[in-house]
Amino acid sequence: MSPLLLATLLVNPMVSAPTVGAEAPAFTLPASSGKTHSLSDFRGKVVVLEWVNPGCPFVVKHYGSGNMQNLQKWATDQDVVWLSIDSSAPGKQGYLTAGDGEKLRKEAKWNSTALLLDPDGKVGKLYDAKTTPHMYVIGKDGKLAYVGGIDDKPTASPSDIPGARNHVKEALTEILAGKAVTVPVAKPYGCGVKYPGK
Amino acid sequence: MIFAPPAPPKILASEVRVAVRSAAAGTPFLASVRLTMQPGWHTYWKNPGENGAPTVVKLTGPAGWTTTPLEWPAPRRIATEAGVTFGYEDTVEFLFKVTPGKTGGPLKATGEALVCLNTCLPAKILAARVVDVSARGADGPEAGRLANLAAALPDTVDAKTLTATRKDGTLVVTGLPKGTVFDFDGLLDPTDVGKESGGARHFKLSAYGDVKADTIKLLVTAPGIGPRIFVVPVK
Repeated sequence: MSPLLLATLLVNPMVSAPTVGAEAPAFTLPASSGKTHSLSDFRGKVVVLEWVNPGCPFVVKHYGSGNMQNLQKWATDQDVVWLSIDSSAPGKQGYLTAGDGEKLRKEAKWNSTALLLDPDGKVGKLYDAKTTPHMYVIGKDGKLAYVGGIDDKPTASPSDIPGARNHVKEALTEILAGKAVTVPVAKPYGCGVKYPGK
Repeated sequence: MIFAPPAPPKILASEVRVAVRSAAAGTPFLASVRLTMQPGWHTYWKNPGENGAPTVVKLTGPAGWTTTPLEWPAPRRIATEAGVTFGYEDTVEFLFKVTPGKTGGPLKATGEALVCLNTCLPAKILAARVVDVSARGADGPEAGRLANLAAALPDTVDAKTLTATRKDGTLVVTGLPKGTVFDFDGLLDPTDVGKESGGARHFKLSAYGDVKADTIKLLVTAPGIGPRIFVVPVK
């Protein structure tokens, strides 16, 4: 663990899941690109955190259809920072080395700002990420503005995407327009995050 | 192709079982959709818990036949480092009551199951069995076994004497028998088993449940007693 992350964990003990309206917990993680990113680097910008596991059927639903990449492009085109975070442990479904992560980003045409690697699950647990995907939107003020599922159709079928209400797109639209978020919390759905253990 | 869904052989096998050798038109009989997973793998109940997805399964007969909606067998609580979920390990059999029409034909099972161990894989449910219609009909070798499965399904019992009260993020339920409690609609926090205190069970409410629900449908399982469903009014 990096000294910075350790410091973060010490000042932010995992007492409870972060809630909407609360300060988004600080973290620092290595990216597949080889860079290191801290949430504080993006202070003043809207930030999306997306928990990802490329082998999970629910993630495949959104990437195989291009839905996630399109949303990433739409958001980052509007100066939103989009951090995909992989908390799969080594040996578990979805674990990525930096090299595999870069390859995946290119091949599957990801448009997120960075893919952050969290193989010990510390940041996932800091945010109480339960599923892949599990989405968080952080406002320009550094506070959590949305926590939950990507949309309201908790299935692994791509055919459910067109009729779904995309909570992340809706929250981002409202935030960028300076409005309050209508649905700030929704049930996350997906595979369990493949944290270390057993 | 990194995003092609992996498809190892036979992560899930599905089959249709029936209680009859031949059916009599208009006389209901039991049929099942049996799912067999690789040892240790599991699939999900109606409320999957912290992750996963409910199994979707349908049984349809030829034109003129009717089948009852799915009745969920009692699940098990499956807790791993990936979270707390509710479902079925190794195998599960979903029962349907089928009322046949005048002519025979295939009973078809369709649906989808998410099958997980350390990895989650989607699997299609696809199976069929032809059932003939005869003047009198006749039981088949599975009749007794399917009748036993039907008897083991949860019974819905009178919950009039039970009360459920919301109180600071918890739901206090009185009158509930001892046992493991499952909630059908995800109103309760899946990680909380419901502490017993002062003759009541105290459950943590889910952050995502329907806060306006006026009833809660609970399934209680206990060793030696059949599973029971209580639809409890919520105050």
